[in-house]
Amino acid sequence: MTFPVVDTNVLLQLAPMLVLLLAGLVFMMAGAFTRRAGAFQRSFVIVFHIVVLVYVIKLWSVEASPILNGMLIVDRFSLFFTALVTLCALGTVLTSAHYLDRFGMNRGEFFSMLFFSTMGMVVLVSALDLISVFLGIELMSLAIYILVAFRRRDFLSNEAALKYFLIGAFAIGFFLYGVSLIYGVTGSTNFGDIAAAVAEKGLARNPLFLLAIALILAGLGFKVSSVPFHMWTPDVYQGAPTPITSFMATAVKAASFAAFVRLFYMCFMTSKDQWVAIIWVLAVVTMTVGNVVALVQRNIKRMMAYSSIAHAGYILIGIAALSVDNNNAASGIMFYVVVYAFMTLGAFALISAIEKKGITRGLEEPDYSGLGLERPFLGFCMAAFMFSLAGIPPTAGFFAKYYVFSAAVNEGLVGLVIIAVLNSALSLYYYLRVVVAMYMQRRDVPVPVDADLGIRIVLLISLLAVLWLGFGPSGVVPGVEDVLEWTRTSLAKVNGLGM
Amino acid sequence: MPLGLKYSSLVILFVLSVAIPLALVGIASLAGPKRPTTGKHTPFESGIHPVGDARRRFSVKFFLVALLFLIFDVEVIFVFPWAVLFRHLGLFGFIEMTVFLVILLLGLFYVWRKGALEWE
Repeated sequence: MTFPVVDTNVLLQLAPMLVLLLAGLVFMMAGAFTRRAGAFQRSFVIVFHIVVLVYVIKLWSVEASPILNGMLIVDRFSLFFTALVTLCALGTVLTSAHYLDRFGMNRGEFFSMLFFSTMGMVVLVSALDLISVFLGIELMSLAIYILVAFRRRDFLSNEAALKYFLIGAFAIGFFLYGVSLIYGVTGSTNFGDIAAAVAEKGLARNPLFLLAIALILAGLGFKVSSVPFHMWTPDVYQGAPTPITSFMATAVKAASFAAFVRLFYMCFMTSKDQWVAIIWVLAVVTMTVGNVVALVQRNIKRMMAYSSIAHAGYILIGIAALSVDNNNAASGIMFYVVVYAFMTLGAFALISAIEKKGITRGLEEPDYSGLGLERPFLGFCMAAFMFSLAGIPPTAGFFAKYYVFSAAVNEGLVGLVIIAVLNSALSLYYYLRVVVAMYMQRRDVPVPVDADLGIRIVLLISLLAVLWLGFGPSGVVPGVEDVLEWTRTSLAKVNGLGM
Repeated sequence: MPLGLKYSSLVILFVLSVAIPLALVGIASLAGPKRPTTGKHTPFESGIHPVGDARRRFSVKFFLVALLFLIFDVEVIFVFPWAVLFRHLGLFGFIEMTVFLVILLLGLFYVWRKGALEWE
């Protein structure tokens, strides 16, 4: 037999993916044989996620090298993001506990699709080849399309899924065109081979190569909701079931930015002076459009969608500041993504507690007025998340912005940072408007809130993360230094491999 | 053979497949006489007079059958290359292919249980 026998080291590195695959299949069958996914099934869902996290911790100290013929690499960079997306999925499962029953969505297939999507994200963040990136994006996206449509009798949900699917198909087409051009120019789709080919053949200024970069930017820009590829975001975020919206806003963005950073770091850094201006412009319009249009939103889910667009703009500043000499920008991006995930998970957990049926879903301002006075804990959590999203110290949101902006200033992008800071100031209005409504306005009837145990757990953990990841010292519980240390060790390998 | 020459047949095919229909339809519409009658504009139904219009609601069963066929047909297509290199890929390849087929078999069970294979 000429083929290698099964390598246990490779199997161990694939373990997170395989566990998620197994979980997806198990819950698909569970959905076929049971009528409702009760607490019994949900507990197994949580167990599977914990098993994945255990494998990630175990793999953290394993020496990483390209596996599967150079298609994937399970290094600390991908383990970092694997842990993040698994935590986001866990948060989604916890948030959805009562929500699923309330809206008739409580079936095993929900968790199955969640597992498959998470598996796609793990493939995406471990990708070392453009085809692996495509596979990861498609696996992640197709499962998410189904999840967005999960409220089958709801018009907005169906509309959101259709829009997401159609626009997503177009965007991935652009991405693939870019991939095919890179293959034509460099002769390979493997990140390492592309970097080597660019160095040998001097392709850094090749027009076809630059066109390929632009097309890939279009595809990835769609996934991270960058302007002008952002049109789908408000409608999809508003129509999707809120736990899925939080999953999309946190995990999908995190995984897409991971692939973004790895691809650009390993293959496109020699052409940096050609594309940095594009990213500059993309960052500015993304931030500005996101913040300005969020000002006029009445529905809180739509407001959060535009806010996520704005935050993608801030992260794009980090991409513009990527440098071959140091890891500051990439480290800042990774920290920002973590903090953003916690803030957003918490905010959407609260939103899913107050959501109702109907066109407005009960999410406009009069629907949550006075919430802070009636339910102090919920109000305090939401206020903390809003302050963090706006970037006010001492919350973690401020520190996340600080790291990214300081990396950008060190790279000489001072104008960009000034625009970003002005945008942050602008965003204060719509974030604090929520806080004002919660604390300074009143309703005749108290707000009907269904904050079950799962939501409370998510709120508590997100609150602690948002408050701790700023000033919190690193000790028993990981603080900001620990997280930054993790990001730096993750990037040491990534930077060393390609360039 | 230089790269350009290898793909030249593809380019010729592409150019011809665009040019010939364009030429045929274009010359016919430009140079032909225009005398439209009702008979010429009705859709062709093998000589039978069309009754009613085609805009009727289709049962979604047809779409479901097409979807299931597509999925399992693509699965079969993936089995073909493995079947050609069966000996060379040995036990490792066999187990890999078994895993692939088992995953799709689970999908078939799911479809079966959900009643998507019922025609009525």
